[in-house]
Amino acid sequence: MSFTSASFCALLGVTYLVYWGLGRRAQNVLLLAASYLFYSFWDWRFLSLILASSLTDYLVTRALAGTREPAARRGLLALSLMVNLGLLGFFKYFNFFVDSLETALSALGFVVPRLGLEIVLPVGISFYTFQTLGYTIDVYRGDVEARKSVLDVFVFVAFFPQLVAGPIERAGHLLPQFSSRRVFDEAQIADGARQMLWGFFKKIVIADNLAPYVNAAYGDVDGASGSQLVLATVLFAFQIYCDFSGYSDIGIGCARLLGIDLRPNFRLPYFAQSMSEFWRRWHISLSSWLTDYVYAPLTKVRLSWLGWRAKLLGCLFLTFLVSGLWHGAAWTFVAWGALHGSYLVASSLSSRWRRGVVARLRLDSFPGALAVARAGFVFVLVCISYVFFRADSLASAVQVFEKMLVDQDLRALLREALRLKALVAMLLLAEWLQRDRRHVLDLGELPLGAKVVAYNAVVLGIVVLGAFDFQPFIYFQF
Amino acid sequence: MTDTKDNPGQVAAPLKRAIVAAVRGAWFLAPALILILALELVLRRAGEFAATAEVAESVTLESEPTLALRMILSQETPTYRLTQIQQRRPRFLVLGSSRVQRFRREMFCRSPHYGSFYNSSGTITGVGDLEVFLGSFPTDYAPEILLVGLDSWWLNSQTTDGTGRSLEIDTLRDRGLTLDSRLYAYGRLLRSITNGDLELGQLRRVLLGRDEGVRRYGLLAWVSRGFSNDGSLKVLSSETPDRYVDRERPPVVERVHEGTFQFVSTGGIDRERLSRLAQALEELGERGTEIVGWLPPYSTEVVSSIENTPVQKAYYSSFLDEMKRLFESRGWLLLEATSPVLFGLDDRAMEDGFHAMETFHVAALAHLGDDQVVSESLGLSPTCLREVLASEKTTHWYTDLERACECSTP
Repeated sequence: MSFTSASFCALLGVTYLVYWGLGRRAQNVLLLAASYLFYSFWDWRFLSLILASSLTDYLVTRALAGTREPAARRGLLALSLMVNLGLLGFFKYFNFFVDSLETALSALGFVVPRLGLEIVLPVGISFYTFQTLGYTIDVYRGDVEARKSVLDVFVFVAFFPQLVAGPIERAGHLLPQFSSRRVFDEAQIADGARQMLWGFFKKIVIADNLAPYVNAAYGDVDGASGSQLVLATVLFAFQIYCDFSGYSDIGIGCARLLGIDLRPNFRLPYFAQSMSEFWRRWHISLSSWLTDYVYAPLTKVRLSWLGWRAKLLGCLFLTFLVSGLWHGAAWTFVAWGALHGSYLVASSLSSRWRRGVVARLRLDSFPGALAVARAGFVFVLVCISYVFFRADSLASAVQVFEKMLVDQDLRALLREALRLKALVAMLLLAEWLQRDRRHVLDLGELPLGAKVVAYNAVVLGIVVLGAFDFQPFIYFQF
Repeated sequence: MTDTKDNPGQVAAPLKRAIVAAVRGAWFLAPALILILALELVLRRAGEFAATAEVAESVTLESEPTLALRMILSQETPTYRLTQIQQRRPRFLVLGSSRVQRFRREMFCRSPHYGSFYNSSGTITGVGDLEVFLGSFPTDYAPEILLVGLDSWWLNSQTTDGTGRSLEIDTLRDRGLTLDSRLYAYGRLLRSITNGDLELGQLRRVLLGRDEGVRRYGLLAWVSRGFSNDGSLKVLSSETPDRYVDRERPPVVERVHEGTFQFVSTGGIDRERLSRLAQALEELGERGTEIVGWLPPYSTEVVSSIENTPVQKAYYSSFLDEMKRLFESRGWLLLEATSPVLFGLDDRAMEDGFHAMETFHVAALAHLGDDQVVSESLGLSPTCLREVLASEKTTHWYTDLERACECSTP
């Protein structure tokens, strides 16, 4: 069940009305039922995986609460890691590793039988696996108390507004909300509805209108010109941003309708002034998860032969490789992660030199221009990485770069897809004007009449400008 | 702020406030919602969301006069046609692209199959389409006569032939029952109004249900054209322009000149497609169907452009030669109606570069019907058709077709 379907609207409408007529426990029962119904619209059989993960982590955390013995605690944590990462590994990575092994052995001259299996990737498995794992690790570390209520834990893992594409929530933030009474705050609910509306606009009007151009260029790299591929890559940057942040806005807004606060997942990433800032603004819930549960433990590994700085940079690079693999079981995603890891390593190594250049050339006398240049530079780097993210294979990505370098026509680049460029310009303008707000439709103190005009314009904008061959959300595949 | 309590007696307040909040939200968006409601009303009244299959099943030769053609949602013409064929099992079947859409039942008054005529035009864009369409007929059905319009691009390997096309439709989307189809319909209707494709007067007529005694399904059927009970296309306007204008976009003559759309340059006839065309028709012939080919016209402007473009000329001549060879070798009739000039008409008988109007068809059948074999095969009465042409009511585009059957009545 997609957020952009009539069945979701019906589910949300019914859940909202019934929910506020119930007490806390009954609300959680309703949320769990709605969440499982929501998920079973894709494939009810994969509910068993969510149940398995939820049950494992509930039992493991209860057992962790009952023992202080370090070895037992480590064993319990290992059990949770094995079950969760085992399921994720099998469903998401089995064929990738087997195929890669086959390719490597074939290259060495061995004759290898076909070992790959027909495995369907369960929607959202990467998201809920990380969420439930985070809970167990937090309990293991003593950062979060193990919950006694099986219902609360199961709702925490399956909460439908963020089940299939995040934000990946932390137990310390979300679980207490399921354990306490929900507060009906009309202002929050109204703003949640506005945030959902803006999410729908970004998804249906911007992302889905950009998709056909991007799909056409990347679907026929041979036939596309270098200019078209450059434009397609830039448009893809906005497509994936509006697609994913649109989904997050709908999910966060939807949770707010139910009195639940989810953490923001995006904060104007294309206005970032550096690559590290980009990662503090893009897919924030994943970045912070990886920082806390991958990067931080890696830095604690003793490698005395390596200098502390080299170790930190190595850990950073490895974390981004994990991030690449998390996104997809393909070498293109590994390359994408490696590229971002390299950006951050290079950024860290060159920071003193860059500061020196800015000071020597007195560039900081023009802060506005410097900020635009920095944001532009970060955007170019991000777009380069998107070639790997969007291309079907590494060979295809290389071909895209080749064509971009040799087959350019600036006039064609300026002339093409004017309507799509106008949509992107409108998005950037709206986001810049509302940069200090929670979302674009948070209109603060504007007169009531102006708000009415704005909200109605957005609704009609969706109807008139929307692309209604609804493209699935990109992040569902992860 | 109000808390929800575990005590059921105290939970009413949040529910009430939730309902009030929802109503307030709807009130805030009232202008947009009212507009959407109005669009919904127009679309419903116009029959734009009527299911293709259900409409097809309800329209017969005997049912009340009907026009059906959607404007906003997909027209689903092949499915509409196929459902009607499965339902009616017509003994006289016209099949082809939009270039045969003006063959009407009244033109064949003397045919023994007059009461079982159906024009299934607008369905076939190439040989692949023909195979799929014929392959979807019920196994125990074959028409007595098949009049098939043969477009020259069917044997051009550079054009699509519709192979592998499915006639199945998404029934939820077809009926506007999915959110995306509904929102798409609202948006498209709104754009049609704002860019002048639909006038407010036309919408008022739809809303007031002023159907002039003709049942209508779909906005196009209300405002400009639609498929009538015999399957042929009826245009609501009866005006006849004084001079010829190619109304296709881009004009057909431009397509020929530039080698685009149906006229992409090619090295010659695609033999594989030719053989598949022969096989598809032979299979029907073996089941007892009399095959009659129809070579539809181009305007003289387009014919001249083809003649002056060596690649197009070579291809078109080979196409005509191959069609003659195919039909002659199998003893099938082939009606050559490739230009209005052949029947004493000019381009004013054409709607555009490759769509002939009703008068052209009557004139062509009157002329070709002089051949006794043709007239007996198709049930033509050349004398009556000439009377129709001579009627005061007949114009370059439209004819006084009622006379055709009056004349034929013994």
